[in-house]
Amino acid sequence: MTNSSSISLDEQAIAWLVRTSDPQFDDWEAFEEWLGASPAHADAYHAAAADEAEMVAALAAEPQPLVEPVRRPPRTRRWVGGALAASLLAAIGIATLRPAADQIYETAAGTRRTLALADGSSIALNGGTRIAIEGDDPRAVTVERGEALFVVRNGASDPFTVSVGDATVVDIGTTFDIVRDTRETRVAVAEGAVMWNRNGEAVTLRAGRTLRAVDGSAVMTVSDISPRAIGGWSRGQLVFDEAPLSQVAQELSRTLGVPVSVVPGAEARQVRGVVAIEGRADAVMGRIGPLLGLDVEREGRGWRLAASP
Amino acid sequence: MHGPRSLGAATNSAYLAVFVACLILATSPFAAMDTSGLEAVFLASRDALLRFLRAHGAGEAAEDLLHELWIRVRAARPGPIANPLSYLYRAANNLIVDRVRSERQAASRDKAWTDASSEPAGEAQGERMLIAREQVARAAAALAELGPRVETVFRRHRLDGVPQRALAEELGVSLSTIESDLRRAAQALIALRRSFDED
Repeated sequence: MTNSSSISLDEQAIAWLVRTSDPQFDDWEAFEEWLGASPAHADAYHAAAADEAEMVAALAAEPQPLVEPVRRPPRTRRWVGGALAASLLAAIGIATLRPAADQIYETAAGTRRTLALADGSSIALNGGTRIAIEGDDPRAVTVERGEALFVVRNGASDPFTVSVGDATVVDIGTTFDIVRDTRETRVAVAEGAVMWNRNGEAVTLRAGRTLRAVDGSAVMTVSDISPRAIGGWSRGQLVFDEAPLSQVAQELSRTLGVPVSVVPGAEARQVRGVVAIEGRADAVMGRIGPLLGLDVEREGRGWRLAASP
Repeated sequence: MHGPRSLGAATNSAYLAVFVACLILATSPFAAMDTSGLEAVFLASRDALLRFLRAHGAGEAAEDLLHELWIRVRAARPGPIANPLSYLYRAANNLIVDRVRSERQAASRDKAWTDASSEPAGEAQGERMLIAREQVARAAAALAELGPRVETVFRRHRLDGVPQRALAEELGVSLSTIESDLRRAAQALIALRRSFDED
């Protein structure tokens, strides 16, 4: 920065923030010189960068309404209305300047939401989920993380495709569920069939089958699953059919938005049962013990599952 | 005249080493060539990156942060990178900002936990989500108030990741106009964020 004494420290910090946020910025030496000139410079930059990043994260989580959500908790309608109006304004401003951008949909941990697509298909999002629907093709979806249940209206000439990790899932008239967890993907088919494609290799997955794969690894496992157990969360229940405790904990944690762990050594223990997930997390966790034959204990802000003796 | 000769020899053996390394990488199906190239740059730039982290005020934690930086970069498994050193500086910068953010979040969680420990957890969580939604709406409104170009520039740059130069060409304005739009948007959002803390 030249002439740095005449503009305030906050303004200098914001100017550097703008420059460093450009993916093509490369004058790190000049930035280092400014940062190192006084500890107050670094503090002002950190405060500006953290504040701005939080606002960007918030704006990124706010979907732009091309498809209308099917159900929405009535308590939140007031705020959503304001956000819709604001992003509609944004959409009008942007529409004249650029081609259709991807629509991002994101749910907070412990919340669920269903999207109805124009072609009659629907996508239910479990908690902590982020997906992108291509602006130019609503039948091309990317699951970035979390869990989504797809109910796809058939269209032979226009297949429905879902990108997840390093693979693509092509639908053949179906209900299927995708879980995306860091680099791991699980696909489970409740009705019909899907085609799993990765690096030119294709696997057909029929109803009642589930596939697990990790990005970059050639190994994938295919096994049986009760179709009833697939996407139960979107109907207000979790169905466990010989499910290992590690998976039970993951599903509870994603669906309820609270940390759930398993006592070491009990991860592989299998349980069966149906758990209603309506109500508060502590009420749901209170019901689970007797239903699944588990000991459920508080652990910090979350819970821990153990096999009953 | 020993200097130039030994320098030449050293350069030749360096080329040979690089050639052999490339050969090994090219023939090994699982080797991550990009990461290995990046690792060489990382090792060669250790001191510069440490200086950068210290300029950020990292102090004694700089060595640990550098280690964390490498773990992060390796886990991200980036594709081919045009400017590896700049990539590493950026990753170091992001690491610092993420640190600041997570320290703040931990502090506000502890506060919320103390405030909310007398009421049921579910309700407190629901209340916080409502507040968060309101804040998102206000952020979008603050951005819209700056006019369609500023809003478009900010969203395209910060949400879609379009470089500033490309935006200038796309919108037919100068780079300094783009920078000034981005400064205005950042300023408005930061001021709004700070007003939330005062509420």
